[in-house]
Amino acid sequence: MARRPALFSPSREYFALVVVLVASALLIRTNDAPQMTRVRAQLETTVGALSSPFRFLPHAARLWKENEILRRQVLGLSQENARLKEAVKENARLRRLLGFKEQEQRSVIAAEVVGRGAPLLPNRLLLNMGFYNGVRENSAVVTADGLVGKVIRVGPNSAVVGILMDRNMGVAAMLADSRLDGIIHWEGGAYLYLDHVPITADVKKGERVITSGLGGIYPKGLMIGVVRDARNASDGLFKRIKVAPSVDFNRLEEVFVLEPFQPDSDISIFAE
Amino acid sequence: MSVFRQVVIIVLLLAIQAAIGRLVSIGPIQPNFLTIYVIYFLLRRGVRDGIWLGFAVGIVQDLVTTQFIGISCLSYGITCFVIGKLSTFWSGDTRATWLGWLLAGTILHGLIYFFFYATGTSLSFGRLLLNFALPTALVTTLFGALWSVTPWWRSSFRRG
Repeated sequence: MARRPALFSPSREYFALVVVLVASALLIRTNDAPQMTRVRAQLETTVGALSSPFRFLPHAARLWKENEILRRQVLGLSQENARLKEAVKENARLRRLLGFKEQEQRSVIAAEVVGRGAPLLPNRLLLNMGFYNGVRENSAVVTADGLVGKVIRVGPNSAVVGILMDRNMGVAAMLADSRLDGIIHWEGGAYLYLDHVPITADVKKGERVITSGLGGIYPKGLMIGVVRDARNASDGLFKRIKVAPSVDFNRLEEVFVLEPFQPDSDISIFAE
Repeated sequence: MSVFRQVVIIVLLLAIQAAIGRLVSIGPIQPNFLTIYVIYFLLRRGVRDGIWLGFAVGIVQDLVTTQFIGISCLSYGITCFVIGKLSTFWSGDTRATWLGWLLAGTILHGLIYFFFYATGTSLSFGRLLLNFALPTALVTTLFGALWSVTPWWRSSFRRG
């Protein structure tokens, strides 16, 4: 009998493949199980601890403390600047209606990026701060340049951040000048896209895109990016707005975690 | 294969990937040290062991770094099976063989991973391939070439 080619010979390899396929399918089904979350937190902490000796490699010449203080100052000034710009517009609009309502000052936690996500798609950041440091799930993560993403998992001493360039990261956003709301999302390239802006809107290239505060996770006014291009979408109802992110996601070394956002109740304003 | 030894190697590689990967990255593209190890192990030890190791690497990688548990296991498992089977037809103890299978393996892993990653979303599969999968495959192969000139590299690959 002629010898069959190795490709078609029945063997334990096929059995191994079938087991792996079935196990993978079962694992995909158990993604939200709390046990998985616990295992993941433990592994993230382990990997974070093991990779920490390498953290100092690119930063040997830096003075860490001074750096952090300066970055905090830049962040504070940047946020203040953004708030002031917003305030000018808000002031004119709200003066007629309700008067001024001061934005609360949020506390921030400085964290270092100790790892990135899957090598194939680095859209996750591993931070060296966790639950014991005050980091909580769904907290917004920012730099002085703008919004990075949000905390999606928290371990005792580490946290995982999902950046804006991720398949599930939809962010309620608005155009800073025209005040039109939309949803920012990623489609797989170097840019973000702002959806749900009416086709009749006058969108200018270079216009800033900021968080709208809707959705209850991201506070209003955080910089997301600038409009690079605006075209009419094929559905004939909305514009397809290409946005260049203000944050360089490839060069993140330190970030700031904002305390969880408590959306203001607009109803209380009208009740006064 | 010693399971304990492999677990230690995987965790160490993950730590190195997390810390060193971004230092040697080109923009968002970084070499995938885990894939280099999986394909090397596959060619050295054969399809069956390669599938199990690929699955183990995939599950740890999924747990630590990605959103969905199971996708990397699946893509590594299939990649190891296909590359392992095909390598029985074309094998040779040369660096060219090694780099050829490494490139094919990383591309196939990227194809399968992004197929599942983009399914059911507005993400463009083609854009993910062009922006991430193919550049990652090239950079990983480059690092595979560097690995092949180290004293730890052995070219005595298993046939079948």
